[in-house]
Amino acid sequence: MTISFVRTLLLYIVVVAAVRLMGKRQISELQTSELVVTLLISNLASVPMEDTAKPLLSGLIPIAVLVISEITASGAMLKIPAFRRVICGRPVVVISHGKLQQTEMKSLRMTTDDLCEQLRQKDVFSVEDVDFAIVETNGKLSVIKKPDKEQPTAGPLGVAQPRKGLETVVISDGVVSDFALSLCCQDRKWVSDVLDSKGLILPEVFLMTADEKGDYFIVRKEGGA
Amino acid sequence: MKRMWAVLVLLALTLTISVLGARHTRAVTLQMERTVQEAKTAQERGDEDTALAFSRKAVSDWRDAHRVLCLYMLHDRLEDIDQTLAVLPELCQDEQREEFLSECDRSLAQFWYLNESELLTLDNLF
Repeated sequence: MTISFVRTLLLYIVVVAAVRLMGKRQISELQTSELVVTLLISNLASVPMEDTAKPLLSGLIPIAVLVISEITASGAMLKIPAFRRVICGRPVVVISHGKLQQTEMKSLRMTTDDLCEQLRQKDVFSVEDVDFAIVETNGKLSVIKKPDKEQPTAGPLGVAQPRKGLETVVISDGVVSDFALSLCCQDRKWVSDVLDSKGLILPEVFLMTADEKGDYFIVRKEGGA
Repeated sequence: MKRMWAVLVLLALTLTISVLGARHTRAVTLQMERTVQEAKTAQERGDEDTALAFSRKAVSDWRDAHRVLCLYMLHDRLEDIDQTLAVLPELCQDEQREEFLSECDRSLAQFWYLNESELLTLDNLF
C-alpha cells in the first residue's frame, strides 16, 4: 500500500509535468493527436499505479516517448503545413453564403440536429441567420452571421467608447500580484495610495481589480482581516 | 525553444535508459547462464562440491542483479527466477541429481527468455 501511495504521488508529478510540457490548452480545444496523447498518458500512468508488480519505468518511459512525439509533432506542424493537414485535417465549411453544404456535412457525419445544437450553443437560433459556419480542426463550430443579423457594435453605431485597457486582479485575498499590476500599468505605491484613501489595509481586501485608466473595484474581506 | 531542449533531454534520457537496460539485461543473463551452466556441468561429472559452490554463487549473483533488474522488468518474471534458483543449493546438498539438472535447465531457459524479451526484434514488437 505504501508503494502505491508513493508511486501515485510520483506519477501525479510526472503526469502534471508532462501535460505542462506539452503546453496549455483547454480540453475542448485539443487537437486529435493531443486528445489521443492525453488519454494514453492517463491510461499509462494508471497501470504501474495500481499494479506494483510492474516497474515504475514501464509507465514512465512510454509517457516520456508520447510527450517527445507530441512536442515534435506539434513543432513539425508549425513548420510544415502539409504535415499539419495530415495530422489535424482542414476546417470544413458546412454553411457557405447561407447555404447548407450537405456533401461536407455527410463527410463529417454531421446531422442537421448536430449542426442546430452547435449553432444554438453559439446563440444562433435560426440557420437562416448564418452566412458561414465552419467546423474547425478541433471540432468546434465557428459562425459568421449574415450582416443584417449581426448585433450592432459601438463602431458602426458611431458611439465613441473610451479605451479602458485590460482590467486585472491586482489583489486576491490580501495578496498583491506584481504581474497583474504590470499588466494594467500600475505599481504597489498606487495600490497602497488607493487603500489608504479608502481606509483599508492589505489583509482586509478580498478582491481588487484595476485597469490602465486607474479605475478600480474593491471587495472587502468578510469578517475582517 | 525551451520545450525543444526539454524534448532533446527527455529523448536522450529515454534512449539511454532503454539501451542501458537492454545491455544490462544481456550482461546479467550471460553471466548467470555461465554460472548455472558451470553448476550443471559440475553436477553432470559428479563434482557435487563445485556444483554446490556454483549454485550458491548463482543465488548470490542473482540477488545483486535483481535489485537493478526490478527497476525496469516485470517483477513476476524476476520472482519466477528467484524461486528456481533458490532450490538449487538444497537439491545439490540433498543429492537429488536429476531434479537439480532439470532446475538448472529451467533457469537457463528463464534467463534466455529474460534476455530475449529485451531485444528489439520483430517477434517482440508484434
